[in-house]
Amino acid sequence: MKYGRRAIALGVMSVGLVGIAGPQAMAGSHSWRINEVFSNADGTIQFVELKECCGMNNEVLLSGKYVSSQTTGNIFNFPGNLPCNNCTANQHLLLATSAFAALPGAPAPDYIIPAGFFAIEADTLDYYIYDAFTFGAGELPTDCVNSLHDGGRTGPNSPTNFAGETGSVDACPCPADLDGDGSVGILDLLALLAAWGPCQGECLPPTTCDLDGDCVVGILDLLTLLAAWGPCP
Amino acid sequence: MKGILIGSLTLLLAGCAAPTNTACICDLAKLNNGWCSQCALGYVAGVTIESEMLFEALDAHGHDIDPGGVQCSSCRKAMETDGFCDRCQVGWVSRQAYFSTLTYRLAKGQAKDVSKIRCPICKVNADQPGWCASCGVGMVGNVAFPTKEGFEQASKPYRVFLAAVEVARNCEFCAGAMVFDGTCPVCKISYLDGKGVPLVP
Repeated sequence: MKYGRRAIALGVMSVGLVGIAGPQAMAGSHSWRINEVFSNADGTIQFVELKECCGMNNEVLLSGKYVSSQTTGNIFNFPGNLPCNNCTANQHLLLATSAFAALPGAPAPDYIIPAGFFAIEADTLDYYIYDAFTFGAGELPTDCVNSLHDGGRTGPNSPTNFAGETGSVDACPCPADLDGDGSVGILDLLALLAAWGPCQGECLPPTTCDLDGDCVVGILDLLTLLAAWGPCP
Repeated sequence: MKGILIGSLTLLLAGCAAPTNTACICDLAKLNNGWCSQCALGYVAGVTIESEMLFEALDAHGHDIDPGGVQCSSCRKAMETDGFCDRCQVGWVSRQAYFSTLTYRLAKGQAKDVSKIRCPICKVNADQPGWCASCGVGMVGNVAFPTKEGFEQASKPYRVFLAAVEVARNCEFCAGAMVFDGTCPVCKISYLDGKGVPLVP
């Protein structure tokens, strides 16, 4: 009987201890922050890089979390938790489009997002309810090289994936290929000549024929096109 | 062994049908910002949270972090001063990390068992934040603050939190977004200081 009471007490305690456990596990997902955003002018090549901000090593619970664009309404839901333990401190997660993944120098994305995932004009990207990354009109570079970093700084893109692979891409490796057929030829020359003169409207090189970014299609653009004549690298 | 089973079964079967049977379990959770899985209720500052999502989002306990692994200079400075890193939105108390203004501010106070508070004013203040001039203590939920500054700093996010607990009954995402100044993906509402603001940009 004496042991029976003790055992009952142990049972009560064990249930009590279980009772306050549950969701209060140490693993989490709070400390991922949107760190770097990149897009080319037509949105086919984009990446969103998240970084663990604070040295927390078990931020693996990504199931149910998402990255979303307020402007386009696109949402990327993480398919599950990260399959590791003690592995997240100061690490990166790379979400990118397929076209980005195909570029030379691109680290393999951890997750694929659709082209045009976010708007290039202005947008707010949310990581779940924990973080937001906002940029206004003209703040996101679309020059194929520079990206927008946390804090509003722009600089050369430096995508990094969860494995720690990093790189830098040129999203316009063949800017004179105006018709996008993989080579610079007569059709590109005709398109350039048709656009000869000051650029109309917003000047967004190199999506127009203005290859040198001076907002005028002129002799320098023609020389650039001729120098690139032939198949794209 | 039989006794253990009987003891466990008794509590499990009792469940939440009779609150008095589970009070001992949930009272512990109330004191340590825990989750009472027996009743499927969470507690932060003694306030009952029905939404598991909101409770998990609040993550109201301190997180031990290897100081050497903290790369953010603002966080490192905040770690030394029990401050808040605005860049990372992380607060530091006793070198532990907290992920919201609410939990960071609450961590600077001391949780009390409200049933053991003798001062009637402090007891009332545990329901609605208030400062007791005679005790020199401010209560924010079940958390006591010995300074007016600490009390006032905790009161503001606490009021937002109370509103979020109510909102969670209709939309858990809105509730979480209220606490984190985030955006509800369902209702398309952004929140700042607990109030809805236009989506940006």
